Amino acid sequence: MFLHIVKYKIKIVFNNKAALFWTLFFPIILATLFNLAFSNLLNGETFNSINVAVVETDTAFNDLTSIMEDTEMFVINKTTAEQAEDMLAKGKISGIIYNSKDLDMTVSNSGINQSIIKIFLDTYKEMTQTITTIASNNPQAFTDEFNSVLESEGLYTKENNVSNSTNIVVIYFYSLLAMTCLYSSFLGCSDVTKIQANQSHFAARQNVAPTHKLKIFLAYVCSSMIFQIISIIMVLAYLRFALGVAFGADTGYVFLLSFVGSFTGIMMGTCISALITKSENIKHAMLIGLTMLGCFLSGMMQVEIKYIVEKQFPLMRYLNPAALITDGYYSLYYYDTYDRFFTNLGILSLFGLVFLLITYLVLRRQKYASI
Amino acid sequence: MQAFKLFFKIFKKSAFLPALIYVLIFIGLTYVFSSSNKISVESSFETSKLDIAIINNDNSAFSDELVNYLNKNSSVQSIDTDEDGIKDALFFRTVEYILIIPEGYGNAFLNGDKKDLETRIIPNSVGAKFMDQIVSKYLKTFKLYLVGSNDMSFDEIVKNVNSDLSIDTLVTIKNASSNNQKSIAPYFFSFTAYPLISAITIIVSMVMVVVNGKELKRRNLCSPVKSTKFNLFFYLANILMSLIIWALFVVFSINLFNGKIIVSQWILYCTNMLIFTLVCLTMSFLIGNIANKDTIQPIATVISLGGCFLGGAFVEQSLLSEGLRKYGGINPVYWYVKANDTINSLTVFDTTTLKPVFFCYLIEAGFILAFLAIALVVMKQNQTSNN
Repeated sequence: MFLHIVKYKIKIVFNNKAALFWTLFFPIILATLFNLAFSNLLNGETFNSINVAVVETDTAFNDLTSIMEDTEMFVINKTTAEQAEDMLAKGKISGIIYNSKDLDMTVSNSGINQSIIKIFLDTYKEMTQTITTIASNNPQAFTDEFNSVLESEGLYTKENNVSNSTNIVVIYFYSLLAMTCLYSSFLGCSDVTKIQANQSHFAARQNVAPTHKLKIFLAYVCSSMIFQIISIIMVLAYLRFALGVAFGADTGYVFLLSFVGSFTGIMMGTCISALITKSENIKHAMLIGLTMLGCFLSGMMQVEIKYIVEKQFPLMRYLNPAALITDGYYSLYYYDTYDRFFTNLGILSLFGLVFLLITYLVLRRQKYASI
Repeated sequence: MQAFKLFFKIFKKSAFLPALIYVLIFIGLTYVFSSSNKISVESSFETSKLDIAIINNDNSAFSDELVNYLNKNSSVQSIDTDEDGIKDALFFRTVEYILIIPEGYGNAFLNGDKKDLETRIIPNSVGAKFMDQIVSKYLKTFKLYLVGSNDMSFDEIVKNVNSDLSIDTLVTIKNASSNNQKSIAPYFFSFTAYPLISAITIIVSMVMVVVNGKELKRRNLCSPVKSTKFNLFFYLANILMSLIIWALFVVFSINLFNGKIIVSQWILYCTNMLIFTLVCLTMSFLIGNIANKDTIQPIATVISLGGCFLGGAFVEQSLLSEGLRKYGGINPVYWYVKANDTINSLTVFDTTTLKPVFFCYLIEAGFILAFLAIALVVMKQNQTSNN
């Protein structure tokens, strides 16, 4: 009997075009749009050698270009003033250095590359100034040690890359997955509507049948879960293989999180549907509102929101299922340890179980003299 | 008049709440965006000031001097200093560079012992390179004084280093493009594309779908009101509704930009928005004639989000991929956003400078005609098939 109900319920869900659209096609469409829109978001963050033109005059400093080459930060074009200005106007170079007595520069706008050139010129002049000051103070200063310090390049800091996976754009996709998981609440919602006799005619009829209510409920939830798992796997596959979104190395955990997220989503739906006996539209509006607010707070519209919320309201992170799911994927992608992942997963499952318990308490042993 | 009333009756019943939600979400998001985009006009060169964080575990006189120097040359943010805090701050680009001064660093540096500062960075980022330049030049200069001058006191060295490092290279800005004028106005107006499409599609299409429903339509047809009169008032109601929404955003823009942008610019923005409102209206006519009650929400969502993402209403057009910019022309949002960007770059208002703006207006008007034509064809077909 149980399998019988599951089978027919699955047929019903797969025939439900609205459910198919919202849980499967909508995330895929949105992900495609994210991919098209955000693909260039991090352009300009990675350091590339800066193109500069150097215009030399009679009073040029001889060693300037060789020092510039030593830093390995610049691509130098020695050229005339006219040509340099032409290149600047066409955007081929970031700035023009006039190697003259004043050593000044021309750019077309402010920016980080331009600032790097400026700091380099500042440093060049400042070193000259420093050496002059020291020489006037102590003519015997120029020892071997002094020269070695002078010629050294950046030996003062030890760089630690925070991680090699630092693409902030993934958060958009992760919160989108959170949305997909939580949209399964629509399935859970309609499940309860179909078995609570005071909510639909279908349910009233079903309650007359001798099948145990819990059995029907479990069969419904199982079929919703099967449907949702199939859609989330398809969405994950699309993100990973068609769009190339990175998820870290632990595919198993990614699936686990997606399944637990979907379970919590469905349970959220059953819980709200059981508690609110109003029309389906109102329930849907509530679910959409909750899901969208949750996803907004976990960064689906503006990634920085996630960080701001976590910093300002630390507790919010643990109370928002969408944030838990997003943060779970994020910790798999960015963190080396699993503590954060399992905290998220644990709280998320707890939410799911609490929702289940509430649903169960509302559903059980309801009898109606008349409806 | 009955048709007029009917429109608002259906509107109140089935479209008011969703439309209101879109408008409210928009207003909320606008405040988020406008607080993160500061209005500034760039007239002279400004050296970039990076967001960095400093974790000073040393607290010696020397490390304090270093921190002072960095305070002057970057924008130091406070972050959580535990490992998670550091990682999150870098990932979300709250800071691009974190400098950790280890305990005892000051003494080691002054005594010439080998001890490194630690940095946490995003691999190979331009910001990290830039900050490294600044940090090393300070340390190098200080070291030169330590090695080179035998009798200078700490305070004297600090004074000399600071005065040496205050040299400022002269930077000239040439061919400054007019885009240097930064205002959130074009973002705001481009962003309105989303609530405009969503709200108008939901309202107009929803009402159309209801009115076009078989039974209601038949009942209306046998009423004594002439169908031309019915249609006239019904369409007038649609237009009025769109204008009300447009006016709402105009009022909102006055509230946001009063005195902050040039009036002629503001008029151009609002005209652009008006033309785009009409684009949305005719598009909704079309959708209303194709969709039914169940498909209307998905269609509206896909069209509004899709159009806005691909047209550059959410992300600047310059950041869109090459292909999108190339084929963006088939999307009316693209021209709406383009017009806004062009208006933003204007400093002189005459026929030549306004030409590109009017060109965008014209193309949007073309979309109005195109949607209207298709909608009429579909309507005609629906009518014949119904009869």
